[in-house]
Order: sequence, then C-alpha cells, then structure tokens
Amino acid sequence: MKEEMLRRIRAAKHPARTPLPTYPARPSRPQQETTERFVEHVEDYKARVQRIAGVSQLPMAIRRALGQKQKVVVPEDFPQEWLPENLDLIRDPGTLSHHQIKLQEVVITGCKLGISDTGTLVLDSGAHQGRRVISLIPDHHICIIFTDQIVQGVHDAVLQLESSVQAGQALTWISGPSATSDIELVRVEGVHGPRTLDVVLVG
Amino acid sequence: MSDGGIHPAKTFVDAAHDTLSNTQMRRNLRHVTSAIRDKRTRAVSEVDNWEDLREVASQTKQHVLENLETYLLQLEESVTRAGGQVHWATDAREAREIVAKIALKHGAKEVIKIKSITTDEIELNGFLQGRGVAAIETDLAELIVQLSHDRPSHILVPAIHKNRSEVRDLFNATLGAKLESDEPAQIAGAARTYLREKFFSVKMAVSGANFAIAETGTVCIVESEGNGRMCLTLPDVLVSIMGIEKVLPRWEDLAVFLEMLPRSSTAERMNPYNSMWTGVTENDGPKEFHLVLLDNGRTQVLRDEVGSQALKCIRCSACLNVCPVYERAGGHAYGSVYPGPIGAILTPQLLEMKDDKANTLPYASSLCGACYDACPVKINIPEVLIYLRGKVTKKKGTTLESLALKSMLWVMQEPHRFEGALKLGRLGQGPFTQNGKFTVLPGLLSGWTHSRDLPELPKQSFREWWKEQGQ
Repeated sequence: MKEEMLRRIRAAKHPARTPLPTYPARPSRPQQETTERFVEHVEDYKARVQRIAGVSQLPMAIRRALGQKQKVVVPEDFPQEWLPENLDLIRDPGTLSHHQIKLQEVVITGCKLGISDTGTLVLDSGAHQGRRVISLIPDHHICIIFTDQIVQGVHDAVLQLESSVQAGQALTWISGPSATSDIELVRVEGVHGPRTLDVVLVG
Repeated sequence: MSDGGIHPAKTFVDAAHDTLSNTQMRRNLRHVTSAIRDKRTRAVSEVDNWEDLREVASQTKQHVLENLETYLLQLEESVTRAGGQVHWATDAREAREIVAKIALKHGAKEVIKIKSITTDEIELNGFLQGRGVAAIETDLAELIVQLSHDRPSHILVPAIHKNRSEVRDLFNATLGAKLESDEPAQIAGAARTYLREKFFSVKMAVSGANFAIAETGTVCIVESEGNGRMCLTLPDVLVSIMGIEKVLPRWEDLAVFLEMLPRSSTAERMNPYNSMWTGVTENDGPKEFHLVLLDNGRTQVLRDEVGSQALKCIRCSACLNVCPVYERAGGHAYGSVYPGPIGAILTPQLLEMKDDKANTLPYASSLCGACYDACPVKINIPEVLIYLRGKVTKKKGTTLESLALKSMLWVMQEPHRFEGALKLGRLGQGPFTQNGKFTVLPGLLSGWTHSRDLPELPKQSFREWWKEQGQ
C-alpha cells in the first residue's frame, strides 16, 4: 500500500536539515605496510597465506595449497598457465549446474581487490572470478590476489567498487573461512561456505 | 519457533521475575556479554577515528529519516530498473500476505530463510505454516531456536541461552543426527549435513536486509556462516523484507556502516561474508527478486521528534552486551524480538505506546548510559527512555503515586515543612520497624520493601545535629 505509506511519511513532517556528511580522511600508509597488515589480518581469520614473487610461481603455490586434492573448478577465463598440471579440471562458462559444481573439491578464483584494515577479499564476478555460485559450493577456496589490488580501508574499497555495482555485478566480501559462534560462543570454522580458505599473494 | 513478534505477554517486571530464576541462562548470558564486551573494546580501539565515524553514521541515518520519501521512491525505481519487484506493506499482515502469495504462485512447499529479526517481527514463519509452506531457518542459532519451539534471547546469538549438550540432544531428537560428542564443531557439522540438502532442493528463499542503496538498488546482507550466500545464490526466487528505515542514499554511504557494524556486533574487523546484489543478474543467482518495504508502526515512530532516533538502529546488539539489566534479566524478559535497551525504546513505540505491557519496558533500565556510549549510530537511548517514561506517566493521568509526589514537592519546598515532616515520621514509624529496619511497608510503599529493607529514620536528623553544633 504505497500511497498510504507515503502519506504517513509526509505526515511526520521532518524538516530536512541534516546534510549527508563527508567521510573523514585518514592518513594513508606506505604500500608495504598496507600489504603486511593485509597478510596479518587474513591470517588472523585462520586462512592460509602464501606470498610469491611472480605469476611464474603460481602453479607451484596452487599445488601446495591443493595438497592431495585434484577435482578443481575455475571460471572460464582463468589463465591456464597459472594452474599446475594434471588436475581434474572443469571450467565454468556460466552454465554448469549446481550438481556439477558440487562434484569438485576446490575452486580457484582471482578477486577484484583486498582490504588491508580488515583482511577482506572482494569478488565482483569480474576477471578470473566467475559467478558467485562457483566460489560458494566447493569446500575449499583458493583465491589469487596481486599486491597492487590491496587497498587500505573499507571506504577505499567501496569507492573502487562503485563501477562494478553500477554495472549490476553482485559482490561477495570474504573475510576468512565460513564460521559460527552460535554454540556457547565457541568459534567453529566452516559451516556452509568453504571450510578452507587459501590466499596466494603475488608480488 | 521464533514467533511471538513484538507483543509482550507480560509486564517486564513479571517476565524478568521468571527469567531471573533461570540460573543457567544467567550464567550463559554473563559469559557471552562479558566476552563480547572485551573483544569489542579491542576491535573498536583499532580504529583511530571511531568517534568521527560514529558521527558520520549518525548523521547519515538522521538524513535518511528526514528524507525518507525521496529515498524510498528512488530505491523502488532502481530496484525495478535492475529487474527486481518492489512491494509496500503498511503492516505485518500485508507483508505476510505478500510473501505467502509469492510462495503459492511458485507452488513452494518449503522456503529457506536467512536469520532476520524483521521476519520474526511480522511472525512470518507461523503464518506461512498455516498456508502450507514450511519456513526453514538456516542460521545455526535460529535453527536451534526453531527446532526447540523456543524464542531468540539475543539479537546476534539467538540461542545463547542453550548449552552444547542441550543442542546435541535437540539435534539427535529432531534431525536424526547420531551425535555422541557435544563438541560445537560436531554439532555444526550435523546442521551442515541437514541444511545442505535443503539448499540444493528448495526453490525459494526469504531474507531480511541490512542495508539497501537508493541510488543503485543494491541490497546488502552481512553474515558469518555462509547460509546467507547459499540462500541468496542457489534458489530461483528470493524475497527480502526490510524495514523502511534501512535505506541508504548513495553507494558510498555503505562504507561507514560496513566499517562499524562488524566491530560493534561480533567484535570482528569484518564478518566472514557480505553479499551485495542489484536486482537480478543473468546466470548468477535467483531469476526473480522481490523487495518488501515494511512500515508496521515505523511511520508512527517517525512522527515523534525525540523517539524517532530509535529508527537509526542497525541491529548490532552492542547496547545489549553492555546493559546491566539485559545481562541479568536476559532477552526473553523483554517479550519482543527486539530485546535490551534498543528493544525498550523500539517495542513500545512500534506499538504506538498503546500496549500496557510494552509500556513497562522503558522502566527496564538503570539509566547508566552505557548503551549510548556503545551505540555506533549514537542513539541517545537514556534520553528516549526518560522521554517515553514521561509519555507513559502522562497517559496514566492523576494516580495515587503522582498525588504522593506532588505532596512531597510541597513538603520539600519549605525547610520548616520538611523538618516538621521528619518529626512526624519519627513518631509514626514505630509500628512498622523492626531492629532498626522497615521490612514491610504498607500500601503504595510496599513495592520498595518487596525485595529489600529500608533503615528507619535516625533519632536525630543532620539538620538538627548541625543546629546543635552551631550553638
């Protein structure tokens, strides 16, 4: 009942006197410190972080994160040269069924950016990330991030994500593996989302 | 079942009397509130300009309340443009009907739910059940509450009044789990197994909303377990119900709240998952998205210059965790899905100050002010509590109590009247005192001695002693 609700809101007669505030500026940190804090905060969530010098080391780092696991799903545009050999690999062109994705043990994606202050990875369905569903169903997520993708604070991230949102892309912010503290406030990692999160930081 | 909505069955004093005798709940609550309090202090101290951010958050919310019509219309337009459908519901009944209609249209026998206080407020689950649709809670704590036909006791951790062995026994009895250990990880594992099948088979999901952006039509949900992501990604149909006060003007305005909400509620730098979606995305997530804008008393609260600040609330639960009354009485004593200090000012106002039981809630406070200090959007809860007490008293008109206070005022206005009254009191107290104490006061005053003694008036008052010293 739209008209009735709007009538009631008008009847409240609130004078519009409070302007929208501007976000307070924060001194920016050197990039190296931002990167180190990012790693520290991601590890605080019990995610595993590997730091490598360049993309040529990616296959080795991914192999290490995979352990014995072979069954992997990646987005369609994920570069083949980043991956180790001999995987039981499927690529998602956006049409895999939920069931097909469920059969894979691990998902490997890139991300849009990382937030240093909070240790957060943000996926926006852009390059190397694929649909939301592939990074959700498998029990193990390996996420690749480059040092120049790390921003300092939440506000910096929100500003950078504006164009993705304007384009209608869905966002997933990930801070560590799935967790709950619902029983006696004891933290348990891994309820419905991936129980293991590996981050490979390049550069 | 978390049904019960916002209508207290008892006055706060009566309800608290019951909950205070539940020693296990008091022990659990003391543990959880003190643990989160300490953690929160650390999480907040990491942010140098926390006080500046509080101001930004508070002003943003105030701006929204002053321009609500503009932003709701803009939100409707952007959601529609992005392929979603917007519904307006003046009250709980209308909102429930909208959800039921969508469920029936799709022939849904089951819907999966993300933890949402708003859907508890409108008592959705029981209503859907009446229409042949089973609503399945997918948040671990909400599932525990639902399976035990209980009510949530905390906004953030609704089943915190239950301990691990109770939950294990519950899951063994209701989910057919065969748990021997009561390790929280094992219990969570049983919930995972049960719900995973639901996530992949149920075609419709129902959620609340933490924030919705007018400018872009984006809706945001913050969560920890991943059950939210499952519900927002796997089903074909998604219905999100949000109180009209949750709208934010611009995309950028989301930043301050994502910075403050996790630190204030779970005391983390960021909660594990935030999902943000804009209408419908091809090949990614639900094919049909409905957003229900809920009034249900909010526009009435909006009319009140002082009381309307309760609508700035982002449901973080920081005020519960610092409240000495909540810590002892527990969430159930408030008789509403909104417990604690925020509940004490929100529940009676949503019921338009017409519910006598809800009107006892503004008295459920010692006015210590800790809730105001903790509130990330600077709701002056003590101010509103006193203001609402004034409204309740005014509604009562002239009572024995107000007459007594008026005569007290007359007595205290003049020193000789006060001294005379003290003398009279000393003469009159004899029959009521025992060993220098009042143990049972008569009539109207009996409330005072109900749970404590009152010392008798001394032989000599300070004023008399002072006069004597001067001579």
